[in-house]
Amino acid sequence: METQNLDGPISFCKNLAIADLSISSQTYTPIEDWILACIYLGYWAKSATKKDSRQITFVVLPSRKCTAAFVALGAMMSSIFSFEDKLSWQKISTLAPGTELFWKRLETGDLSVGKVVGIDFIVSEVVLKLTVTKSRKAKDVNSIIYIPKNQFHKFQFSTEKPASEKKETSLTSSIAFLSDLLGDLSQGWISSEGHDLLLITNIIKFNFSIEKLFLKINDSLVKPISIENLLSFEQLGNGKHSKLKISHPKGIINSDSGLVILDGPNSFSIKEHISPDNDLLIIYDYLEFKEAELDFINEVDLISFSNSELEKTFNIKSFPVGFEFCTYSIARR
Amino acid sequence: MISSYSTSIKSFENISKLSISIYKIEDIDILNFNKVIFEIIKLLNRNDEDDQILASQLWVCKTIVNATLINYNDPALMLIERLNSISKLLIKLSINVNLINKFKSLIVIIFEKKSNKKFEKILSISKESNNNYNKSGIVGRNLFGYDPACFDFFVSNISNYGFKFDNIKNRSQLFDFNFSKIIIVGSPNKSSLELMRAVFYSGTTSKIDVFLYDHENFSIPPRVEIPIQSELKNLIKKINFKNIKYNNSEISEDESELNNWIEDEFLTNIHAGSQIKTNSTVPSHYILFENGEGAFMPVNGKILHLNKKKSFENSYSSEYELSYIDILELEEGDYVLLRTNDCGFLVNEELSGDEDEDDEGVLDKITNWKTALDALLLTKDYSQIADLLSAMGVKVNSAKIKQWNGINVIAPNSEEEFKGLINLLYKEGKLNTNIKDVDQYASYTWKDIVDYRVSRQKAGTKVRSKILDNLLLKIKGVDLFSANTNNNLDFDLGQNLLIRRISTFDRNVAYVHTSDLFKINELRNFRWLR
Repeated sequence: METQNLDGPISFCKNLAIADLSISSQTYTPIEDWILACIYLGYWAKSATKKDSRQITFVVLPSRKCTAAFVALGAMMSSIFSFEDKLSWQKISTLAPGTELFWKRLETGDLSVGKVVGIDFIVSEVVLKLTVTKSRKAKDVNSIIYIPKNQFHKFQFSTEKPASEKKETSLTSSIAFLSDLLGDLSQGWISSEGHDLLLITNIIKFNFSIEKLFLKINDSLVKPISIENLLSFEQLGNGKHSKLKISHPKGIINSDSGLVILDGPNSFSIKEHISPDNDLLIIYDYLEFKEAELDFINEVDLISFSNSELEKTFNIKSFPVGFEFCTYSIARR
Repeated sequence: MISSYSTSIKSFENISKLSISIYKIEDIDILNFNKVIFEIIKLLNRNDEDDQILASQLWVCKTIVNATLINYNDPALMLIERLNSISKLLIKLSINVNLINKFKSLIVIIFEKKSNKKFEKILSISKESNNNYNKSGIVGRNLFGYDPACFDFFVSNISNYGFKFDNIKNRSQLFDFNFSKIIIVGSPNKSSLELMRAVFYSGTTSKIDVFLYDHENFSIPPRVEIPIQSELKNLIKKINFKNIKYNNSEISEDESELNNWIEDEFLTNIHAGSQIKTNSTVPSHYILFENGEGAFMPVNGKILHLNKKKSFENSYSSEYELSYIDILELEEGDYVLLRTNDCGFLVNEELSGDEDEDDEGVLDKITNWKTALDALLLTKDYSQIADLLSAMGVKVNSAKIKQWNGINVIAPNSEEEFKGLINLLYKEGKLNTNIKDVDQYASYTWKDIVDYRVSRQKAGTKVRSKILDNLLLKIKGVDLFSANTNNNLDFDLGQNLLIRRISTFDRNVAYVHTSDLFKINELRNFRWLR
């Protein structure tokens, strides 16, 4: 892939090597241009999100077997770069009474579960009032606790179940790997509330496609990582924390992630059910792309905004041969 | 087993460096034979049944002569029997005697040929580039799963010459392998177009050799391409196969029209599904199985798909697993498990179940709100109802309302949607007036719906799992995937179960009445398949 003056993650990704441990040779080789292109397009699509317009990108490739994983990786990189820690007192304080909350006392690492009672005042100080439903200390269960606003930073709150120990390890190794690759990253991103990306795909095939695929950074001391661990995805709707959620076309698809990747025709068939608040990135292979998809693109083209500067938003000279895509910006509603 | 990653790498690599070679073969007798056939067909009346039968027989005969790679006098080709049968029809239809004699003499000349020039050319080219370590594939001429040119026989005997070719009959064979070369022995016809597209565009090989008689045309089957925006034209490089087109036949245009006519006739005659939707029809695809049976399957349906267990994919031992897959995911060559009822209809596994009277009572109770929805639909259309629900904070589209109104759906999938709908029906005054507390009614009915779904699922799973476990035991150890004939699939599986291999999946949508779905029709004696 021809690149020019790249400052973004795509330039860092050139340091990546990949190994397929399901085959006998098990050697690391430089990542191919099409992988780089997938990462780049995912990065671009996530970065292209605008408040008032919806970006619809259709990519058609010789094979889409592993591509969704790399596109998702690129989109995640964009999220990391643009991350601002927005977990705020303001957000927590507007939660409805009865909302379930999970919190960790950062000093001790103790986890508790409870429910929001509301905002209260104690001696003119604003406090968050919670009932404890689960705690390591049995005596705390059913008690009411008050967290003053000025002590708020000592806790990490979430409406999602915290990651399991195994998942926590995977998330930690993922962020360590990405930090080494991309430079100084905000550590808060990985544990920040909500997910950044939804991938709708055939989950079994997706898992199979990245099985035993490992990435390593050339000349780095950081251990190689499996793509599965790097993406650290969770199924949408299981309540577990993850920055990449995954779902199948007939599963839960409500998401406020901003970008939804539709992997293949079955996923594309539910496009009407995806909220217009989300941008779409659709992946097909050459044989799957038929007249119906072309009709869809032509319809989108008719209602899209023209953008003579579009090419400039891509900071590369060209994509690899056979890497075909189009992208349109339309009104969200 | 080849990993997805290796396959992807090869796809991208192969497609960017694909080379296509066309080898021309001169054979004046075969050229003349094709000309005579064309002359005869030009004289036929396409609306007359006898003429159509003759056209079909001539077409099959022409296909054999152009495509076969075995000796023309091989009894399996039945050239003389075909000559006799066609001659009788020619005489019956009072075709010019000179033409009949010309046809007869040419068939005899071809029959007496000592060698098959196409075969010899393939052999000599293969010898030049032989590398036994690489895997080569060959695509023969297959008429909708029927093999009149005895291609299977050729492939199984080519090992006598020190070669091994994989006989590529369907797209699924292409996706998990990397072929060093794929040989194509004739121009694509409509039945093989999808397969040909897959050969060229799946990146399964980097080399394609095409072998054609002088009179045969060839062009790379087109694919539907994504439009490249003018703003991105400098960024995107489409694959660009060399403009390979081989077309030097004097009769090409007319012949291609003839082929179109005959091939269109095939599917029209075989299933007669309409291309036009009416209020009473549903979209479906016609699937023809290799034994000559076929059935319409709903576009959005699911079917039980039989596959070798992953751990056994590369072994001689055979254990299988069953899973539901979408009809649209089926490929030619796939194995499916079907179940017929006593009338020969396929049982739609998804919807069927042993419903007893109690079930029906519960079903009536949990769907009685549908009467209210029907009443509301008298004054409002689907999208108006969807808008009203959206205004209440329940985001749905008109397609969902239509689904809920249909008989195949018991109720909305989510509690929020169901309760929203019930509240709307209540507000619009369509619910039974005896209902005093609408929220309570919605909650109780929703609980009943969930209980009903769970109980049906459990019962269905139990029955199915017993039947299917027995089935898997019966076929354990049988290598279905090496089965070349349909006889291998005629197991006594009991429970009206059938295993079938897909020969042709008609990807055009056919609109049929619901009663025509899953109905097996017997086409073993259909004239095109003889």
